[in-house]
Amino acid sequence: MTATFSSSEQARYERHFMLPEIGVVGQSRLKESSILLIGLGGLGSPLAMYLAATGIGRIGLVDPDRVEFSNLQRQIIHTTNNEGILKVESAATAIKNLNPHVEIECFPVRFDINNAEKLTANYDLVIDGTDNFATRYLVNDIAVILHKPNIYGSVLRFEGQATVLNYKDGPCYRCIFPTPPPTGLIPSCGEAGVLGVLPGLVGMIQATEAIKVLLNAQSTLHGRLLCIDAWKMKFRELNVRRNPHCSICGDNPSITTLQDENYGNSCELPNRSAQPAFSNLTVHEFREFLDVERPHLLLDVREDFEYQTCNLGGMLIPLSKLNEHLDRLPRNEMIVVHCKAGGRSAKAAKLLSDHGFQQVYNLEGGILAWIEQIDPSLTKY
Amino acid sequence: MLRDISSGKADIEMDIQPATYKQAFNHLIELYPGFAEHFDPESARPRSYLSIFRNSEQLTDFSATICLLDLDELLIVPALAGG
Repeated sequence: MTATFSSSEQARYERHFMLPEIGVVGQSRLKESSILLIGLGGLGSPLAMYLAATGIGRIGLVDPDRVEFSNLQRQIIHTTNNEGILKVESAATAIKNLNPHVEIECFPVRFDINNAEKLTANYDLVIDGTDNFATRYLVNDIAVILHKPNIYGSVLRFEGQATVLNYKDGPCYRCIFPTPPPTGLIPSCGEAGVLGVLPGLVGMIQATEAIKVLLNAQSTLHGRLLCIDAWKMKFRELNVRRNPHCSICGDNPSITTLQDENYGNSCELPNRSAQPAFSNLTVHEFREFLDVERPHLLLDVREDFEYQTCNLGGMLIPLSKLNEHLDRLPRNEMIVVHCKAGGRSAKAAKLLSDHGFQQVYNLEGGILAWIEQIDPSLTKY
Repeated sequence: MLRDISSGKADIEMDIQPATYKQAFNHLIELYPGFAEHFDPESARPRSYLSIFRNSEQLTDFSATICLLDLDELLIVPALAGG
């Protein structure tokens, strides 16, 4: 049984009909297929556009965020006039303009252990366009549990990775990287930056692989981790295999259901005490400190250009230079460290504690949390 | 992240004898001590957010007897989160 195509669809997909690897039968299969796309950021933007243009029958879009100006350097499905709009709505509008024959389902929610199974079960495959480790591992695990192929991609600075997971006896993400790193160890794009076109490059590789998986092509990236260095423009393939000892897809899995503890800081570095050497401080707690004029030094470990965009009046010492400037900091006074989102400041707080500073606090969520919860008049970036 | 430890270097050449994975690991830590916290110091096994490849093959055996050949490459590949 093949899908039928209207005359306008026949014209739209004509170049696909010409390809023996696709043809009318393959295009029909794509039209009857469904994809859950998790994340509508740098990866999700080109993914959504090309999957829609390709003629995937039904696409589910998952993202709780709204469009911000800082997204627009790479998240090309969103436009300037959509700033402040839910990303799923922004993307759905773009997709409808691109290809009205595609059915779009919008989920403006965070993908979490409570909704992962219900959201994923209704689709043929999932695409990981997420921007954090917790969700990446959750996407992996639900894909394994529900036996869905998982099209993986990730980016940072000039480097990207892509592969097809949980497909044709190939590995899952935990076979390659068994557990997430400790919070703050590996920076996010929001902290370390990313070349704007890089998620476009990686996202289009993911879209290509998703289409091939739906067409049951033999030559997908499963079993091969593609590593991209966009600065040197080098592509490297690494062979990856299913690990029989994997905690979720191995022969005797220890993970059989979704549990919160598998998506947090499950991989703490060794030789660190169970209790962190510094304390975390919410932005509301910090405001209380300010209200009662509790003596402290506020240390901002971001870069100068970030400080110029917005600041809380703290002493600026970028994390990369902190080691050289420890003598500028008081050893016996309270120090509150902040950055943009909390990752770099956690590293800085750890560094200070390791050097004997006694009262070190990490401002959770960084200046972004401060802007969102305390002072929206500051410039968000 | 890793290039921050290696002073920005993406590639490090080593001339080591005997040419084993463990020796290469020890030499790396001598050159760049910042790598130490990303490995188990006894077994030289990477932490679970890193994967090691010899040329194009994922290493899963980190025992001291794993030998390297001339011109072998060891790659340290970190998990990336950005999207």
